[in-house]
Amino acid sequence: MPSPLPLSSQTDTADNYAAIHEAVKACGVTLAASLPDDWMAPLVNRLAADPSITHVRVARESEAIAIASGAFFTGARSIAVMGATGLFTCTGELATLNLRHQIPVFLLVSERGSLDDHRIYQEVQGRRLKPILDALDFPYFRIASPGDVARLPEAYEWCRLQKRPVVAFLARTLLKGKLKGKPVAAPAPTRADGGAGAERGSSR
Amino acid sequence: MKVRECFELLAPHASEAVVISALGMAANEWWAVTRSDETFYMHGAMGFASSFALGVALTMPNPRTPVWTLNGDGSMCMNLGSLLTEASRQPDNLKHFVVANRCYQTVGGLPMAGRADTDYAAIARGAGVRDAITIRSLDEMRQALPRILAPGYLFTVLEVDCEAVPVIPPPQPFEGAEMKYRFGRHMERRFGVTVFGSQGY
Repeated sequence: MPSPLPLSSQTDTADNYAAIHEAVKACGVTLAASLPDDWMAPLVNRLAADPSITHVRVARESEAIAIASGAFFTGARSIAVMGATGLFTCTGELATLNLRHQIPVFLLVSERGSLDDHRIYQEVQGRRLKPILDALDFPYFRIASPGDVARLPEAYEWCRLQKRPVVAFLARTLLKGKLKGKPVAAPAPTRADGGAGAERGSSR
Repeated sequence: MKVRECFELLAPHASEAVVISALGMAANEWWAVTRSDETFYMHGAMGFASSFALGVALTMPNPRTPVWTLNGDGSMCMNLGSLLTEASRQPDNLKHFVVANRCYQTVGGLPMAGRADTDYAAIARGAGVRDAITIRSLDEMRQALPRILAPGYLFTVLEVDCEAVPVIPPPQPFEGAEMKYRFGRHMERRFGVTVFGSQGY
């Protein structure tokens, strides 16, 4: 579905995706499990094309949590990659698998619902996700600049020390560039493109 | 077929395997039969033990080491989409067992949604799994053992009885973080990998 906003071109932030990819490798990650949203898709494509990383595409985000958690026990370094909407659906598994058994899992997640995210489909879960993480005592932080990206390996080690899920929220400015222009009305979904189902799919 | 008898047949062949069990009856019965603290008994995330096992299987230092998932049908049906993920990989070292009693045994045998003749193996095949079998008796189990123990991914449905009363064998006398450390230390000792750092986390 066309974006309702005139976004920056992806090439503006291609270097940032490359830097995130390199930072993931610097973490020593050899397994990545993912379900993308539109902000994370270019990173997922990079991880999938990297022969040094076993990349697993999942059908639901909680699978990525569990796959990454299992890999922890072979001494492998793993990450779960998803959109904020996907993380919103994982709270039960994060609590009853990772919190109960104190298994660290490092998540790269798009920071949907931020001030510069004007997609209506992201507002409800985006703005409420961080309070939920606070309630679960799952640490999170923003990655908003190349300098922040360079600190991902440090954050990865810190996650293991925390023995619980730790979320790195990737900011819009990093992935999509600055918001440009004034909001314009999104075209109404049609039956041909799946109606509400297509809206949800396009936001992931 | 009773799940206890089925596991008693299977357990002597598990010495080479890394075993991951879903919560509930599968975990409790496996513990009752084996008293194995080298198994990871997932005490939460119902439906995701098979995903956890996939992560183990894909990153095993020796990819020939078998990884067994002991799943329940109640668990599997909470995460049917994971069959697509599993089918996309089908690692040769992964054996996925589904203990299928068509009920929620630990809460008294209340029936699951679906029909008694729902074909789980067909669901797995529909997801793209190449090799899926259903075992309905101990004799069939004995006959299938060579296939189960041979290299190669296999999805095995174990059709077992649903009891009319709650069946809650004594669960493992450890949980939570201790489960993590028992299993992780076992993986370190057996495979020479480093799961925990020099400071123990």
